[in-house]
Formats: sequence, structure tokens, C-alpha cells
Amino acid sequence: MEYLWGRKVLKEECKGSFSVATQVFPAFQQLNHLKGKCFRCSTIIDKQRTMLPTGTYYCSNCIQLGRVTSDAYFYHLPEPPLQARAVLFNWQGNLTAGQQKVSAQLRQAVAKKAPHLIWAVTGAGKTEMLFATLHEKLQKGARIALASPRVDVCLELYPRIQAVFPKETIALLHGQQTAEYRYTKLVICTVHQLWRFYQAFDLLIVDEVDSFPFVNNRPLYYGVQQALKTSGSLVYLTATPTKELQVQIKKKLLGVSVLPARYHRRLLPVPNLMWCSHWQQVSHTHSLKKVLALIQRLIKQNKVLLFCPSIKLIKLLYEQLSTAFPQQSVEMVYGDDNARLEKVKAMRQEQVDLLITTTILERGVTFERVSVIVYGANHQVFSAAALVQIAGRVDRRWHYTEGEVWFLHSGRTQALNEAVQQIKHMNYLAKAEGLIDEV
Amino acid sequence: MKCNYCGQAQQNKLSLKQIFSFTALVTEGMCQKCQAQFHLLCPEKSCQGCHRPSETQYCLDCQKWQQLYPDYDFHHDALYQYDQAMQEWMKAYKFQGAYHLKSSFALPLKKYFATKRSWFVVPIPVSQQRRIQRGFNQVEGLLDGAGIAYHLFLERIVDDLPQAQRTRQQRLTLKQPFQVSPKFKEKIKNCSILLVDDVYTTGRTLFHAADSIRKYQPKQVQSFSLAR
Repeated sequence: MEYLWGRKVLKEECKGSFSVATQVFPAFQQLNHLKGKCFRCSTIIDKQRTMLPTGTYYCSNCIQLGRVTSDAYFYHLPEPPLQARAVLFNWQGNLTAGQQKVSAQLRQAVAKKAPHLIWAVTGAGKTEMLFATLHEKLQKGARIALASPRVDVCLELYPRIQAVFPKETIALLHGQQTAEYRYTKLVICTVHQLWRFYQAFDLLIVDEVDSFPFVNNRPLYYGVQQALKTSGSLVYLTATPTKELQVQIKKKLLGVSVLPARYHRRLLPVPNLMWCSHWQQVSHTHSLKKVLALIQRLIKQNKVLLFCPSIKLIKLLYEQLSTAFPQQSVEMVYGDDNARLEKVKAMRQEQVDLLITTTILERGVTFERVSVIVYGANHQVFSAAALVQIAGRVDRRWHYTEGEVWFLHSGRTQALNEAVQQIKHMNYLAKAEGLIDEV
Repeated sequence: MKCNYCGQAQQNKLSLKQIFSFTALVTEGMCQKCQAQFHLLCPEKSCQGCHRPSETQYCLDCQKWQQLYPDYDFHHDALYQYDQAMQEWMKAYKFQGAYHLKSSFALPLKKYFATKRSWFVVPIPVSQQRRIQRGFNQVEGLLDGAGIAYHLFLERIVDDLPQAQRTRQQRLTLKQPFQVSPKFKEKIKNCSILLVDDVYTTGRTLFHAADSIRKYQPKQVQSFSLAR
């Protein structure tokens, strides 16, 4: 029975028998004779396009989670009423003044059940600010989900949350997860997994709301809405809110707490710009010399993360750099790479000196001691948000390691200017609020 | 126009030939970026029997088949290599049941079958159980997607484990699972039959199918698969 609490699953996905009290929903809502609406992901489906020879049709949008055909049903049981309980809370850290303010604002917003956005710069310690609210809600017996569009973020969140609530069982759900689903009060999952929940959570926190694929993705947004109880509260976390979110804030539809400084009370590293012509051709000698000299200098103090706009360029650069730095271990990682998780893990354990990557590592990951170089920063894949996030990979730990941020470009784009401006503006706000120690 | 595989809008630039051909454009297929993932087999340097890349005229496997079926002059054609990309596509199409992918290879299939106009196209049947599970026969789907007429001469009499869950040895020792449906028995005589499957791995399935058909004296039997 527990299995179905707050869930919305197909018959194939659940094991065991059903009680009579199970709620059953048809998989498709018939809009007219041409269109049907998928109950799992809300996509409106052209029946003709996905019609099977048997006469049923299916949803092509959420097919990775198992095919939903029009003759199927979703099974659901409502959440049991909340029961207050004791929850072991094991966290000795202290919040800075800025964090405390945001943490208090968040508790108020959640108590009022108002949707809330935490706009905190990269490396501000967003997760720590959640702990008080999480603990309070868990003790009330609430069910909580921490969702993110990116798997890496979920994988990194899981051990941190588990350490703080050592006695809680936490379900970690994502596409590659093989462990079976179990009912838990605390769920960490990718936003896609929220399609399998229905009226389940009293508190739903979406981390990195502005990242792909969540941005402008109506089906995923619907997933968030319907996984949340009607009496639940929604919290967004990000360092770079989209225009749409900022409009919502202005219209007062969304509460906001801004935290412009990091917990270690140092300014955000401001990107250095360097002209690098013809970066599209890696072997262009003059530019390559510049890049090599820069890496040579940075690698003495820190590990180096090199962001590239395309996989083709990664491979070309990898060839050049692995020959230029035979003593250092050079690695490359990109989206389709099968060994992606292992390579990132190796980087985290400081076994890799130079990692060449795409925007997949732009957010949600923390490495000790890194400097960052963006190669071809004027390429269109580097939006302002992406560049701010990338710059935010540097200097996230307590100890200062003189990590630097370099944008190599052949012509400033609007995104590039916007990113630098945004970082400077946040630094200005932080200084004004007195959240920075002058060195 | 959306690519039916990656879901991204495709911007195919029209060639002059397409503009002045005054025929309907095929818009259902894959975008050029997706198509580039799949590798075509080259017909020159391949085995006469099974279309596997090979230096000799017949590869080792086919020489064994020749011993097993001495009076069957077999010939197999395939379009694509059964590599990582193709396996992923098959996984999405067959195992996840994304039936809308049936038209992914419409263009290359059309091109191939245009050279086989006078042949009876016979898809390999799947077991009843899997047909209900998936809701479709993957081979018929591919042919439907490309708009190719076919004939259901064969039926499956043994329902068994899917081929993908067997080892090579188990597959090769399989018993004949096909028979020709009674109403088509007369039709086959002196006709050219082209058997179609989705993937050719050991060849066992297609040889069984050919064997059951050759009892009724067709003029010739050949086989075709999307991947090899």
C-alpha cells in the first residue's frame, strides 16, 4: 500500500496487489477526436501520429519513463495525514548573517505557503540555508522533495542531505537508478521523476530552476505543479533567474530572497577577458600559444577546468593539450560520454589536473582548488546564465586558493557583457550590505 | 518540421532539385544530424551471403550455412551497421515501443525497395505475446513507415523467448518457428520472395523463414534487414 502513496504509476510499474480504495485515472484525457492529453506529462498528443496498429495511441514525450498507452490507467493513493515525529538533525555548522536572513525568510514563506525564490550567488551555500526549514517540516511529518533538472546536482545533494539527517531514509530517483522505489518522507530526484508523483509533497524545492531542460518546458513544469499538494509550498533555488522568473517577482507572484555574497565573505571572482582570435581553429598557432601559456601559469596553483562550446572542439583540444602537458593528467568529458560519472569523480578527488568539458559541468558541481577557462566564450551556447555559473565554479571553499576565471573570446557578445556585469553587480550589493571582509 | 528521433526542429535546406521536383517532401524522417550517427554498409567489400564486411566472397558463417542448406543460393542485403547508435535506436523503437520512429529510415528504405519492385515483400512475424506487449510488429512498422506494400505469408507457430535474450549458441540450435499460412501456399510458386527483418545477427531466423517458404517452390528467395 505504501508504495502507492502520493504516486501516479502504471500497472507495470507497481508490484503487488491493489486494494479497492486505489484511485484510478485514465491515462489520456480525450480532447477531441484528433487530440488527447497525457495525464502523466500533460503533453497534447496528435493521435494519428502515434497510433498503434491496435488502435490505441501513446504519449511520445514521456516514453523514457515507460510507454503510456491510451488504454492504460494510472494508480494512486492519497498521502496519509501528517504525523508529528522526532527527526535527528546532525549539523554543527553556522550560518553567516546573510544566510540566516534568507533562511528565516524561507521559513516564513513556507509557513505562509507562498511560492518563494532564493536568488543566491553561486557558492553562497544554498543547501545549508534549507536545513532549518527541512528539519522543521520533517518534524511536522511533512513529505519533502528536492528536485533538480540535472542528475549531477541530485547525486551531489544526496550525501550532503543524508549526513545532516542520518536517521532518515532518503529515496534518490533518477533515470539510471536501479534501486527499487520505496516510500520515504524525503525524496531527492530529477524533475522528470516528479511525473510519477501526484499530490505528494508538502514542500517541493526545485534546485537550479533556470537550467536545461526545465526552462520553458511546460510538461516538466506541470510535473512540479501536480506533484505538489494543493496545500504545499514551492521553493525555487537559483543563482541566475530567467527573465520570466524576474517578471513574476516584479508582479509579486513569487517571493524572493537575494543573497549576493558567499559564505566565506570574499567577493566573487570577476572574469578576466582575453582576446583569442580564431579559436574555432585549434591549431591556429598564435592563439594556441596564448592558451598554453595561460594554462601553464594556472596549473601551477590549481587544477584547471576548460569549458568548450562543442564536442568536436573538445576532441581537438584534448589532442593538443595532452601532448603539450605530458606530466599532467589531462581528461575530457562530455554529455554522451559513458565514463562521465567516473571522470567527474576523479576530478573531484583531484586526480585530474586538466579537465576539458562542455557546459554539462557548468553548475551543481564543486571542485576543490580550480581555475576556470572558457574557450570561445563568445559562442552562442554560452548564455549569460551559463557564463555566470561557470565563473561560479571558482573559489567555493573556505580556503582561498587564488583560482582565476578567464574568458577567451574573439569579440564580446551581449551574453558575455551581461555575465560580467551581473557578477560585478552582485559584488556591489554584497559590499553595500556589509557581507564582505575587506582584505 | 521536427526530427522524429531527437525532437529538435530540423532546418533542412532545400536543394534546387527538391524545389523543382514538384513532389511532396518527406518530412517524417530524421534530421541530418541524427542520420549522420548511423553508418551505411558498403556493398563492395562484403560477404555475398550475409552482407557482413569481409574480404572473401563468402564469410566463415555463410560457408557453414552453405553446408547446412546446399541447395539454397542465399543472398542478404542490409543498409546499416548494427553499432551503438543503431542499438540505441532499436531500443527506443522496439523495447520502449516508440512506434512513431517507424518512419525514421523511410527514405533509405524507399530507395532500396525501389530496386525490388517485382518482388513479394514478406516481413518476419513476431510472436503473438510480444505483438500484444508492444502493440506492433517492428518490421511491418518499418515497411508501413516507408509506404511499402507487403504480404503476410508467414506465421509463427512457436512462441518463445525474444532472440535478444539468448546466447548465440542457443539461437543457432533453435527449431523451425515459422510456417506458411495455408491460404497463401499456392501464391508462392514461381514468385520472387524478399524476406525482411529488422536486424541480422546470426541469420538463424531468416534461414528458418527461407526454409519454410522454399518448400513451395518460389522462383528465388532473398532477404533484407535494416541493420547487420
